[in-house]
Amino acid sequence: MIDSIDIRQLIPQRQPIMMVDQLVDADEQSAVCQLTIRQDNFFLQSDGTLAETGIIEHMAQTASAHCGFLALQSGSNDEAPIGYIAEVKGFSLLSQPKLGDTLTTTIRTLLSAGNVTVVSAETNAQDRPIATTQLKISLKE
Amino acid sequence: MLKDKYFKITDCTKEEGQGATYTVSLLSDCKVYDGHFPGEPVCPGVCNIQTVKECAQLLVGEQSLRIQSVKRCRFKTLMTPLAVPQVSIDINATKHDNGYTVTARIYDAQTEYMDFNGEMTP
Repeated sequence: MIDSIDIRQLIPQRQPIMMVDQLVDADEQSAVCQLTIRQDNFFLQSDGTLAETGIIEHMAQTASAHCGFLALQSGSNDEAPIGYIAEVKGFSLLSQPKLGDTLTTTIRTLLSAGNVTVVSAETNAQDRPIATTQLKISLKE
Repeated sequence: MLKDKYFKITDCTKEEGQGATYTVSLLSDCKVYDGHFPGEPVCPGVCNIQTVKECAQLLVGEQSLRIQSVKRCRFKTLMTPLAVPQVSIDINATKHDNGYTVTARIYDAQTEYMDFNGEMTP
């Protein structure tokens, strides 16, 4: 089962900046990750909301987990691949997430060429849409 | 949120109109580098966006701004706190009915690291 994979096998980030709890679904072209916003979240603001930059990092780490999943599927035993955000384009905040919310993000690969991947990302909380964007990720060579 | 944890403002020059240049030190002992990445500190791109937002709050005198939209934000060169201890941030904030259109650029003498164009609202 996909959701039983330890997330640390899929992403290179570690605390305090792990912004996905688990991969819940994935195929060749898409992935879904979840994150519950807890008190110790690095991007939690004093008013109990998650900073928009935390949402973007959560989306980027969902893309990262997708790369890690594909690497794992291809039989790689290496550590999870490191990727960097190269571009954020067309980010739109629909509702601010807050402490206790569980975010579910779906990323879809739009383009993949060499070390560069472009994905669309859509984030929802339990009851409402949170944000959408497009991200360009470059993988470390 | 990240001010004096991830970055520290060492100088600010207001410009004509609605702009300013902030000189910012990157704090290499920030705990974020424990995880990004273990043994290989790299400035998280989103922390640089957060730094721009916090400088924009100071520039326009708002307690807090939220990033309502990002038209485009490009990360042109990787930043690490050890190789890049200090950067300049040019910010321009144009007020309109619902908030501010913010453009910003992070750079030093040699290199351009990031540019940002987005909408922020109080």
